Amino acid sequence: MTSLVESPEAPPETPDAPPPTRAHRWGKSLLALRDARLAVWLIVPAAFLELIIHIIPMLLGVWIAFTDLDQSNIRNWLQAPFIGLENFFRGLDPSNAIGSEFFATVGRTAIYVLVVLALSWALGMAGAVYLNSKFRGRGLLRTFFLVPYAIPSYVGTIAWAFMFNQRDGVINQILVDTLGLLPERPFWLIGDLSFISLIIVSVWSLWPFAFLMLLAALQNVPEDVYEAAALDGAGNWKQFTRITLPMVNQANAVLVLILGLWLFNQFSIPFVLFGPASPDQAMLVSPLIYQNSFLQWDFGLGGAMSFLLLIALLIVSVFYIRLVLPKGKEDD
Amino acid sequence: MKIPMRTASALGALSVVAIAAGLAGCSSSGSENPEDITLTWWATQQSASIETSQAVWEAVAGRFTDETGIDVEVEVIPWADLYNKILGAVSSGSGPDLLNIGTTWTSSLQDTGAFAPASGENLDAMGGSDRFVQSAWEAAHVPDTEQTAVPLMSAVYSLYYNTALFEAAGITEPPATWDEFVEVGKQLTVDTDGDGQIDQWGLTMPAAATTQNSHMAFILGQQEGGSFVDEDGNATLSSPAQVEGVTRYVDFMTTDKIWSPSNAETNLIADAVDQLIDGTGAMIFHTNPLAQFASRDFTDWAIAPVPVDEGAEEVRSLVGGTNALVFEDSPHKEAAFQLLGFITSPEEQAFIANEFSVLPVVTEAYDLEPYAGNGDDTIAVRQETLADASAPFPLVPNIGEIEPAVGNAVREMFQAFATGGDPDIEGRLQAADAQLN
Repeated sequence: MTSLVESPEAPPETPDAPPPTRAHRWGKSLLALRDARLAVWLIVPAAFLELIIHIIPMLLGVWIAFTDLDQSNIRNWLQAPFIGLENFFRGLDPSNAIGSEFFATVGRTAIYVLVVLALSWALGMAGAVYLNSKFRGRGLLRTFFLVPYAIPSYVGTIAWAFMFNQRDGVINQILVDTLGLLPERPFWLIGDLSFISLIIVSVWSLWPFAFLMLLAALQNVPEDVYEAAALDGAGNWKQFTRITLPMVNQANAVLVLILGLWLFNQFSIPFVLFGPASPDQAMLVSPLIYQNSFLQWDFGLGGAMSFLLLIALLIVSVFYIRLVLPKGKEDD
Repeated sequence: MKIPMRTASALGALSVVAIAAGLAGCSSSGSENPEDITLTWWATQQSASIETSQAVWEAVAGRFTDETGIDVEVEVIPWADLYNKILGAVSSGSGPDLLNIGTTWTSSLQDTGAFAPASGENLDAMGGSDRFVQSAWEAAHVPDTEQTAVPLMSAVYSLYYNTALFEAAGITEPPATWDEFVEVGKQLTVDTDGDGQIDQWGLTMPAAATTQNSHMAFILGQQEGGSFVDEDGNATLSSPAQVEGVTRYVDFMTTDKIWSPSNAETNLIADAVDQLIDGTGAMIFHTNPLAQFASRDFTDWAIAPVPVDEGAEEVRSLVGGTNALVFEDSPHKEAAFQLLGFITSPEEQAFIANEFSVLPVVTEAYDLEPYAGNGDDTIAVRQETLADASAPFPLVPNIGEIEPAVGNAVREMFQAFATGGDPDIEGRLQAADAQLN
C-alpha cells in the first residue's frame, strides 16, 4: 500500500526500512483518519440499534428499580413514585423471606453455572479432540454432534419435559420398568431432582457450542507440532496437556466468558421445562426476577434484582476481560 | 435464549413498546364516519384451538360491520399471554380499542385507570345494562368505583365425571357432599390391571396449575365461611376457614388418596381432562371441558354440581367467565361501546353461548335459537349454579397478586407431598399472607 501524499523528497522505500519521514507519517495518519471515519459509519447502525434495544431499556430497568412501580401506576410508569433504595433493602435483607430467597437463588445459580460450564466444556473438548483426528465418518459425526444446537432450544426442551414426565416419561420407563433400577417412579420436574434435570437439559443444549468453538480453535493448531512431539516420545495425554490446551487457550477464555454469562442469565430452559413457576430447588436468578415482576406484579423489586444482577455480572466481566482474555495487539 | 442481560431487557421491554409508540406518533381521530373507523379487538381463546375461536369472534364482528359499516380487526390472544400483553398495552398507551379479560382480573386491571367507564354516554352507546343477568353485571362492578367492565359470557365450575367408570364401579348417583365425594372417589381409585400399581384415580386436577389451585382454594374456603381478603383489603389466606378449605382440597391427594400424586407436576387443565377421557381419572372440577370432550369424540360423561356439605355456605363456584373493557385512550370509544353492545345483544349472545358452550350474560338469550334447545343438558346445572350458588371473586385491586400467590402456595403443598416432604398447609398460607400484606 502506498501513501496518498508522498512528498517528492521522500526517499524510496528500501528493504533496509529507513525511519519514516514527517510527510510519510502525515500520510499515514490521514489514511488512519479515513479508516476511522469509515469505521464510525459502519458502527453507527449497530450502535443506534444497540442503544434502542439494549441500553435504553436497561437504563429504564435501572430507573424502575428505584420506583414503586406496580399495576396501579403502570399507565404512567414514568411518574411512578420514587422510593430510593427501598426495593434494594427489601430484596437484599437476608432476614426476610424475599431477601433470603434471593441470596439462596444467587448461590444456587452460581453452582448451576459452574457445573454446567464444567460439563459442557469437558464434553465439548472431548468431542473436539476426537473429531479433530481423521477417520471415516467424521463429517457425519460432526453434524450429529451439532444437532442439539441446531434444534430450536424451545423444541428440544419441550421434548425433555415429556421425557422427564413422572407418570409416562421415557426416562422413568427405562429406569423403573425396563431396567428396574428404582422401585418407585421419581419426580424429575419437581422436588430435589429438578435441579439435576435442569443441569442435564442445559448441558445437552449448550455443549455443542463449546464443541464448535473448540473444534475451530483446534483446527488452527498445526499438525506438525504433534508430529514433532510424537517423535520426541510424547504420549497422547502429554500432547493434550502440553500442546492442545495451551494452543486453544484464547478460545477457552472467550468460551468461558460467553457461556458463563449465558448461564447466569438462563431463563428459557427452566421456563419451558418447568412452566412459569420453577420449583424452589431449581430456581435460578432470572426466573425469580420474572416471577417477582410478572407473576407477583412487583416491578420495582424485579427491577432492583435485575439491577444487582447486572452490576455483579458487569464487575465479573470487566475483571475477567482485563485479566484473562488475550490482549488485542496495540498496533497494526 | 442466548441473549445476555435477557432479564434486564425483559423488564425494559415494556418501555421499548412505549418508545416505539411514541415514535409512531398520534393516531388520527376526529372524523367519525363509520366507514373510516377500524376497531381493534383482542378476543380471548374460548375453544380448544385458536382458529375456532377466531372464526366465531370474526363471525360476530362481520355481522357488526354489515350493520354499522365499522370495520373490526379481531386478534385472538391465548390466555397465558393475555395479562402480560394487556399490561404492555397499558404502559405503552397503544392498545386495542376493545379487549376481553378473565373476570377474576377485573379489579386489578380497573386499578390501572387505563379503561373507559361503562356509564353515561358510553353505556348509552351500548344500549344500557337492563338486559343483563343482574348477578353477572354486578360481578363486573368493583364496589365504590365507576364500573369499567362489561360481562361477555359466564362460566361456573361443575363436577364432570366419566360415566363408564361410574357404571363399572356400580355407582349410580354423583356425590352431593364431600363425604360422599371421598367415598365415591375411593371406590373409583383402583388397580385395574392387577400389577400392583393404581392406574385409575377418583379425581384428576392439575395440581401444579396456579389458576385452578386458587379457584378451588376460593370455592372450598367460601364453603367454610372463609374469604381471600378482609374488609380492609388485607389478605386472609391463612384464616382458620381458608386453611380448612385448602386442607380439604390437599387431603384428596395426601390423606384420602383419591388423586394421583403424579398430578403434582401437571400444570395444564387440558392434561387433566385428557386423563378423564382416557379413564385414568374419574372426576374433575372444570368450567367448560365440553369442547375438549367433543374434539376427542368422548361421550361417556355427565355433569353434577360441585359438592357442598349440609349446613355449609352454598358456594359451588366463583362467578367466572369473560368480561370486556374499552381502552380510555381509544380514539373510537363510542364505536367500541357500540361493538360491545352488539356482542351483548340477545341474538349474538345466543350464537356465542352455543358456539363456546358458555352461559349467556343477557336474560333474553336463554330463550333464543340456536342456544335454546341445542340439546346441551349441562345448561340447567350450570345456570342454577350461576344463579344460586356462586360467589364473585374478590373485587380488590391486588387480586392480580393474590390469585397467583395462593395458587403457588397450594402448588408447593402438592409438590412437597409428592416428593416426600411436608405439605405444611398453614405455614405456606401464612407465608403467602406475609408476602401480600
